[in-house]
Amino acid sequence: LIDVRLSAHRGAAPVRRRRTDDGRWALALLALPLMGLGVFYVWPLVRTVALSFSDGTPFRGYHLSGIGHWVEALSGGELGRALLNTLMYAAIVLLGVPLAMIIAAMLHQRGLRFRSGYRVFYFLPVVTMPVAVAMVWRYIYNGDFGLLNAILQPLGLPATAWVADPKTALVAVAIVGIWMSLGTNIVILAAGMEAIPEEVTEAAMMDGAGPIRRFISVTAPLLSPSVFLVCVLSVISSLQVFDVIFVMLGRMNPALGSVKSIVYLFYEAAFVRNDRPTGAVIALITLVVTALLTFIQFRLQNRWVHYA
Amino acid sequence: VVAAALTACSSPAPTPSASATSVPPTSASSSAAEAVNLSFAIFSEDQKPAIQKVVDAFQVDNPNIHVTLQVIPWVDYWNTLQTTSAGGTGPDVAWMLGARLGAYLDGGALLPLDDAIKEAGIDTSGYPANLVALYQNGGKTYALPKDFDTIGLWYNKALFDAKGIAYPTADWTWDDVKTNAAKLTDKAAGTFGIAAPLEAQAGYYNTIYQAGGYVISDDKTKSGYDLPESIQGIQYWTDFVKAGYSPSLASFSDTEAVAQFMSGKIAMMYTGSFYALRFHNDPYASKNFDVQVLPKGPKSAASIINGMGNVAFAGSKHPKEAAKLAVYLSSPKASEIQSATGAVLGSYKGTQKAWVDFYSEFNAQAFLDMVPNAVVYPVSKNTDAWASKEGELLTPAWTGDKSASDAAKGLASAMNAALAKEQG
Repeated sequence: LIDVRLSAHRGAAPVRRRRTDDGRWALALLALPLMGLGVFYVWPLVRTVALSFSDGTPFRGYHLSGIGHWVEALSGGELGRALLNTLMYAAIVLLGVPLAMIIAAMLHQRGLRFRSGYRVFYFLPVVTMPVAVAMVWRYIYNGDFGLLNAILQPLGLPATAWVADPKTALVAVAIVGIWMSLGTNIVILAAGMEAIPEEVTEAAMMDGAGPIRRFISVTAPLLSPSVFLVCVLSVISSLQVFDVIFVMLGRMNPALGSVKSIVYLFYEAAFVRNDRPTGAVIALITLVVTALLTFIQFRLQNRWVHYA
Repeated sequence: VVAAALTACSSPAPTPSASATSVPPTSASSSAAEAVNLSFAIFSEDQKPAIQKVVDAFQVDNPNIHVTLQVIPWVDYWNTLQTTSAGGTGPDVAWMLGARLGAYLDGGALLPLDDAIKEAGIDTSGYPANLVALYQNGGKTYALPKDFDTIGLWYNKALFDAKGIAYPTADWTWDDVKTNAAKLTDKAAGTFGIAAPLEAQAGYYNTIYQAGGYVISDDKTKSGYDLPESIQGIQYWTDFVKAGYSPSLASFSDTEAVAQFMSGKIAMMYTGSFYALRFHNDPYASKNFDVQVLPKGPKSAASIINGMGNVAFAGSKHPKEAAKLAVYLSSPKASEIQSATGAVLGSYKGTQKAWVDFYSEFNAQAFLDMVPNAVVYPVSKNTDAWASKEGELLTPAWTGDKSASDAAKGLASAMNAALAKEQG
């Protein structure tokens, strides 16, 4: 969807139809990928929808039973709270986008030495296993002997159990989310900057714009398609946050209630409580929320995204 | 047992010097019988050497049966087992926990083992009776316990010595724990008298029964969390946190209780025989730790007992052989082989001495002494439906946001709702 909108649009010259059997050929060639799509995406989706309206156990099998699981999931407060946690998380992680823009702009400076070195450095978190990342951050945030407290305490701040305190846990986890997504965002934004015509920047320099002014008035607006892409991707991946929370918080964490995401809720229902139908309901709600938020973002893009 | 499986991963099981039995090539004796292949799934890489030895011994006795031992890591184990056995591609024999048995019984996925037990000539009175009952349903036996664990009072002798306090005895009561936890807490030194994590099997389950309460009614239809006795059993722990004799729940979620205990920060900790191997392999713990039977509660000296079983699947192509293997894996002989490795405490009476001897530095006999008073780990048809809510709903009692009584009553109603669903 995103790719179509951003790139496939331009430059595709209309192809003249030469023969009438072109359509059949196309269909034959597309059959294989379409079959894959059907088997691995459409069919599981249909099954998930059916499961969400079913009752049963894995050994006895499932049978359609009505909307009971939907009513139960939507009427309980748990889902609303998890949804709120997830949206808060997504919002905080979005704050990482301006940060990524600034870093990308700094890396884009002409005559910067060790540029590839910096790029590797910022990209490292992306290629590191999330579980390993979460383990390291767990240590940093540890309330008794963590690195963060060791830095803050000499400054007179009280020791905090960052991921075990309901007040700080969500922000603490979201910071790790920002840190992990920074690399990908920088790469996308850096590529966008490369595409900004040199002349525009030079013209701004001739007009006497300094580096900050150039960033705000020239780079940022022309970069908006890339920023949009980064925002859409960031929200989608934030809505699916699970592994970091699972590893960083653990099962018996007093802050779990204020961090638990929708996918975490899905995991609890489907795999801990073995309640597959409720799991299916939550998975479908996640899908709907993701689609809805992405749709809203696409509708809003006219207001701020400039396609050059 | 969950903890056992997880801890087990951290340290390889010691290999005893006993001669390992190897499988002799099948010869004349097997030519008549048809060769049978069985697969057997377990979830502990750490127990694999001991289990392989049991399997080898089985193959010596049954040369026509070939057993493939398969380790599925704990995180994937239950999902893999459920999907593959429901889909007909599962193992013939597998490890089972009492808490998970219900789902498999419900679907008729398991083979009754009664005939195979009779054939093997095993006297089941040699196992802890409540563990045998854990795997029985409708008068049929679906597994025999292969091992068990009980909970004991582990303590750090160095911290007791530092305060000049005598070590816990078998006569200790809750009051002794309370007074000594206070004396052993030293804010300046950063040490705590006792660990009071939010922990079921090694923690509040024990004290709930010791106070005369229960977690689940005998007919599995009602929660006991709202009983005054059960609340007393929970408050036993929250009081330690409130008084500052234990690190907070936040501290335990940052650094797990056993790690804090092993770093010498905590003087006493209720935990299971399943940690014996970890303590044995750690130089500090091995030198300073010891264990005593659980202190007596207001009503009894109960300790939670749990044990794993070996089940055979109804979908097996060779049900007779599968049942035979499942029974053998929990037999007195298997119990003896496992005990000798120190990894787990074998389930059969008289075969556990090797385990006790393995831990010569600890009073490991304490875990056996508690068997007569032990209460079996509470389960129902779908245990996780309510057990998974315990942590979240009891948390406010540990953080002090709610009283133990309010939190326990909230849990009771959630649990009753889950149990009602099981019935329906």
